[in-house]
Amino acid sequence: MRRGVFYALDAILAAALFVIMITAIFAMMQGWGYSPYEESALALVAHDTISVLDTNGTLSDAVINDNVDALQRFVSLLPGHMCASITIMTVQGMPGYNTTVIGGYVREGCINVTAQRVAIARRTFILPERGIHVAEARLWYR
Amino acid sequence: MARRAQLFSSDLAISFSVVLLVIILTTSLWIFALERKHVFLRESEIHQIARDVSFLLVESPGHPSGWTDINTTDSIGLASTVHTIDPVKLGALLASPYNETLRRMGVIGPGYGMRLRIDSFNGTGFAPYAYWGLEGVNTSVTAIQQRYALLEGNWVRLTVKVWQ
Repeated sequence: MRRGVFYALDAILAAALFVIMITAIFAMMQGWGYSPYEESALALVAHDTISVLDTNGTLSDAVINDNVDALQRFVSLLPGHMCASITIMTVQGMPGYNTTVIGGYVREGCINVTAQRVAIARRTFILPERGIHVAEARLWYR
Repeated sequence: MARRAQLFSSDLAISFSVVLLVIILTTSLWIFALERKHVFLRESEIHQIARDVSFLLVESPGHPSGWTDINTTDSIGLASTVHTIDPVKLGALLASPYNETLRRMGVIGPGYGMRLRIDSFNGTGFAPYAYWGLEGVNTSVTAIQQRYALLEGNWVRLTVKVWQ
């Protein structure tokens, strides 16, 4: 009876197991390149952006005077590898929280960029005689 | 009939080689994983410190909250309100001694150091405004955290660099 290594079932199984193990090992090693710090940094910048724009009146100015120049300027100053969009909405029908988008700005070159991880920060602000508004900052890496 | 000895079986030789290869690969991977874990822990700590320091500078008033002399603080913070930097506190920080201030900010560890850079908006972009601390030389791990805030109504960008 002829016996050859390549015809033995146990040898085939061993070879298959070996290939599976090597593939799994290298696949696992690929995941070690992921850095959790980048997400944290993105979230902090989103938080800072919405807070700074609210504190110095940029968001209010955008609603009251329809002036988004300062908003655009700040977004353009963010690090070049970040994309950002700022959206301003009005809130109606409390409780229920129905929102209507009244304006916003997306950083140049970012509209068609698909993002895997997005950091979102929101800030609610109230304007006399204009009611409740919500500003949302979304940041992602290019 | 020819005698066949176990040690000369090709099946056994190939199986033995494969097992040996798997053992070598597994051992190498194990050593690599342990080293990587060690590096990851060091990097995590440095990044956490950078993040904590940036929080102190931008969001915390420090303790006591109305401090003006760094030597009287338990915790250093530059904010008068969240994301608004108090210029008096900033001036005190910029004039403070490096090692003592580093300790008060919680940058404590073997060979840890820090460099703070503040850029101010000048109408067209961010321009250098102030520096504090030391640039690390031949550092093994570095973490950089950028934050944004207001200083006297103007946008500022703070870059906190913690190194080892």
